[in-house]
Amino acid sequence: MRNGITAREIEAVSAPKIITAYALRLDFASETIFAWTGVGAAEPNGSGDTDLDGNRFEPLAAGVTHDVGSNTMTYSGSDELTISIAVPATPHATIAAAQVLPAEYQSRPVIVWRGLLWPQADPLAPPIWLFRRIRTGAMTKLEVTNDGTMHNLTLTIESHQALVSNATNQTYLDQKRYDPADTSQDYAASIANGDPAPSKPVVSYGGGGYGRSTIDGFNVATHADY
Amino acid sequence: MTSYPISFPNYAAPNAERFTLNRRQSVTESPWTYAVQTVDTAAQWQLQWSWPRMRLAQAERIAAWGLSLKGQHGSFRYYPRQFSSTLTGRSLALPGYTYQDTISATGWGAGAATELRPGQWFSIGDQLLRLIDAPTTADANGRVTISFEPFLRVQYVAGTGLNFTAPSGVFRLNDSNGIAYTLDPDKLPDFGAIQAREVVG
Repeated sequence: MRNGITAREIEAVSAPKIITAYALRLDFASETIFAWTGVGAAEPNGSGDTDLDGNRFEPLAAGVTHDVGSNTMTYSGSDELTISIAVPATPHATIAAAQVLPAEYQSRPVIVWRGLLWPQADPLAPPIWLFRRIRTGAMTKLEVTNDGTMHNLTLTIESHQALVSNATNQTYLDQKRYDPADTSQDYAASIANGDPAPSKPVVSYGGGGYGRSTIDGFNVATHADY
Repeated sequence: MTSYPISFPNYAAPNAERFTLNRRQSVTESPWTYAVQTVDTAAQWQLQWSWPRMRLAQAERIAAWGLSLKGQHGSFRYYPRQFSSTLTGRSLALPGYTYQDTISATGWGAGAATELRPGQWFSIGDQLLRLIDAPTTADANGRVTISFEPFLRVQYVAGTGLNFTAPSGVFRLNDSNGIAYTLDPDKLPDFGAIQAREVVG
């Protein structure tokens, strides 16, 4: 989804005035919540993204999305992204459930799109939004804060570590644990640590009396002129 | 249980009224070229008004009205003051989409004078709009393309009525502490300037 920026997207981004919004798909265990930061409800279609198309994104139904954290990408993957939703006085049933049931959110997928309104020549034409996935991840942490003036639910989306399993830390030397009869990797350590190392003797045999052998790191051939 | 929006008090007419359009806008200027790109996400009307000094009996009733708003929870309907318009029976010729600041309206005769003026207030549903530009005559189909501010926040179907005669918006107070009057030594209550903002969503 990240490749293939279209001419329309470039036009929208480079316009002197741009209108943007975030669209969120929060796949809780009991229900999928669609929220977005634009005005009115949006029902995208024709994008080819089956997670986006045909779904109705509401600005208020599940609470106001009031913060989408920074989307950081590094060499080692992506950093966590937080999404904060203000919990209304009468919370949405799924949001209420997520506050008490970890199974509602833990490792459940989330998709975040960045939407751009494409400026059209005809002011009366229906608006065209360009949506682009900026993050796909799993909900790993949920934080509920209520300080008397605001009640927020903050979801942490971890797209790299949550979806990739830990490294096994296995080596060639573990081969015998799986197949005791397999001795193919027995010398893996000596191969890995073998020559050419600067101070190690290498024994090789050439023809004639002038052996090109080295002893104790001492190249005999260069001292064989007697 | 009060059903919001409630009506604006009619015990005393405001002696000052000021509408500003509060935009959620960020401006990025290139430090090299001064080229500017703006990001717009929302706009809402900001209303400031004040009442003339009034008798204590009136002030008490207005104070009660202010309390009934329960701070920023409740809302009230406000009709901006303007030159009256007698246009009725006008409606959307095409659907009005969210984020759109132009509509096609119908209800005029072919080539008839539109009787619209820039700066005029009108409303669609509960959204208060201010006309920016409109032609002086309708087209051959009796349609008029009207541009306005701010953009529509709700999608309206074709045929939705346009209110030119008594446009109104729904507002909530800016301050959770509500409104209150000051009693002067000469015992004339004064509410001062009161601010409210348009209800969105």
